[in-house]
Amino acid sequence: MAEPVVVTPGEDVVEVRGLRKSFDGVPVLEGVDLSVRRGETMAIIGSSGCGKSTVLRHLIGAYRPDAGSVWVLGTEMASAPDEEMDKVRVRFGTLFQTGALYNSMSVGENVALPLREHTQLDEKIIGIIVKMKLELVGLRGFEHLKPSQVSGGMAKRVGLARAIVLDPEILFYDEPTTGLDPITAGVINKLIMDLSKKLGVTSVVVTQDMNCAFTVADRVAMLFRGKVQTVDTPDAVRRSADPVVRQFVRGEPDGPIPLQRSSRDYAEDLLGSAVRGGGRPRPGS
Amino acid sequence: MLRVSLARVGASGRSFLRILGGSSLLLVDAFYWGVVAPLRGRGRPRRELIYAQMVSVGVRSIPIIVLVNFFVGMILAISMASLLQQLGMVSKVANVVGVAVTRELAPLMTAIISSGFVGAAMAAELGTMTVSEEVLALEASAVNPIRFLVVPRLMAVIVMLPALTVLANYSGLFGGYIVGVKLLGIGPDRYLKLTQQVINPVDIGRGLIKAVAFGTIITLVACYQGLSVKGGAEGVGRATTRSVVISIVAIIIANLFFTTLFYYTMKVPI
Repeated sequence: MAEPVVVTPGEDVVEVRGLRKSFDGVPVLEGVDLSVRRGETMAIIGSSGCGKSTVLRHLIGAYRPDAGSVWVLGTEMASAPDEEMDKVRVRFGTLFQTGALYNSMSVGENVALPLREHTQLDEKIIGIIVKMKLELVGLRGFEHLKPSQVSGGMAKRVGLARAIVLDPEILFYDEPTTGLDPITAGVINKLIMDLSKKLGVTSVVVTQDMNCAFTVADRVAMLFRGKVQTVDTPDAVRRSADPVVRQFVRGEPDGPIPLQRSSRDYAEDLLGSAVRGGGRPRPGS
Repeated sequence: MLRVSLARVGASGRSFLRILGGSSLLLVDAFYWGVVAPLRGRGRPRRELIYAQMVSVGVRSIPIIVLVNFFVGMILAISMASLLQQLGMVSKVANVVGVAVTRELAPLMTAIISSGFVGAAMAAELGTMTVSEEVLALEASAVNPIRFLVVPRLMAVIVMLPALTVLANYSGLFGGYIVGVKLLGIGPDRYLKLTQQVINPVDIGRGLIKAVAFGTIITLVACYQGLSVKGGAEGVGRATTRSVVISIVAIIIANLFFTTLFYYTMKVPI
């Protein structure tokens, strides 16, 4: 057993060691090691399906690892009882891929929810804080709209306002710019940088958008085959000689990162189905 | 062929048991977050959430509950009429309707309608929330989804289903009354008097106990199905259907259990 990590300013607030996780026998993470220092912005990049979001879900305590340990703000998330984990969870905020706004509540109620749940504040004060947080993301005055009435980019900004409403020490972002138009993506990138500068929060940004990663990050970690391939500054990653990193950063179709995921031989697959009379693909094949 | 179908029956029986097992575990969690945790000062359920659920569970179901039970009362009276006419005691229609509605039909029909009306909506809503990461977002912000989503629904249903059953009692009895008085020619005063004689407060109470149990079944099965959805919109659809089917089966089985239990423990003469 590893000793508890004592977190002091300037040291690691997120520490992942030997993290392994499989789903239905398929290994997704095969020993991820990663540490994030206080105040920095770390981007985790990698092709889709490589396990970036899985790492993030371990950080917020949604998944329990098969092996390894995940330390967030000095608490081991893998073995912490629910009460301990909740104490850590109120100290970080999470922005989900689609915003994950609660559909039955208005924008204002969404942002107010963590305050209503975790503080004893007066409704009047809650209203003021909600306005301030919405102002930060440029959406003050939209409190009364329902999530179904706002666009995807706005939903993400509301989600961000909700994530920062308790003044978190860490912010986790899951694909903050994916699916947004370039201008909205730029706005989100700027927000991420502003929050890290103005509020001094530590940020972990999971993304496959190179522009986002290189714009916001102090350090970039690339995930490949269930492990961290490299961790370095954006400039170093951009100039990396590692063929895997180079292929991904430049978006080249050919290289060590395979597009193919089929395990069966192509010719055999085609001929086999021809022999069977071209039947439907069998589940699990 | 037979073996294949037997295996299928076995498999669906197993999944039925698994879902009931999961729902029972959910009951333990809901009891903790609804009763134990507030007593220990670990966050009490928010009242406005419960009220909102009470409106959507109870108030919106009133028209359909009244309508269906009214017709069930009529059907019961008409179908008993010819038999009782042969025996020359057509006025006993009032007794039959009175007993059958208050003991069995009103609680059962109310629960079955609610499993389609309320349970399906719950499974679909929670399922969609699960798929769109809303439940994950609740967890990530240290808000327990059982406390926030399941407990208010359970409390609302436990209050509202007995209330709806009372309404169903009146509607069913009124359906029987209309048939008895208008079709079978029983005098209105006589019909009412016979009904008053036959209806027992104990019967009504037993119906309400059943309503609480049925409501618990509907909510837990629906919430369990909703929270364990996998696989997008298709999964939500599957969970919704399954939640209705399973809660109806479980309600019928529970009804048999209660009726048997009451028969042996709280005997009431007709």
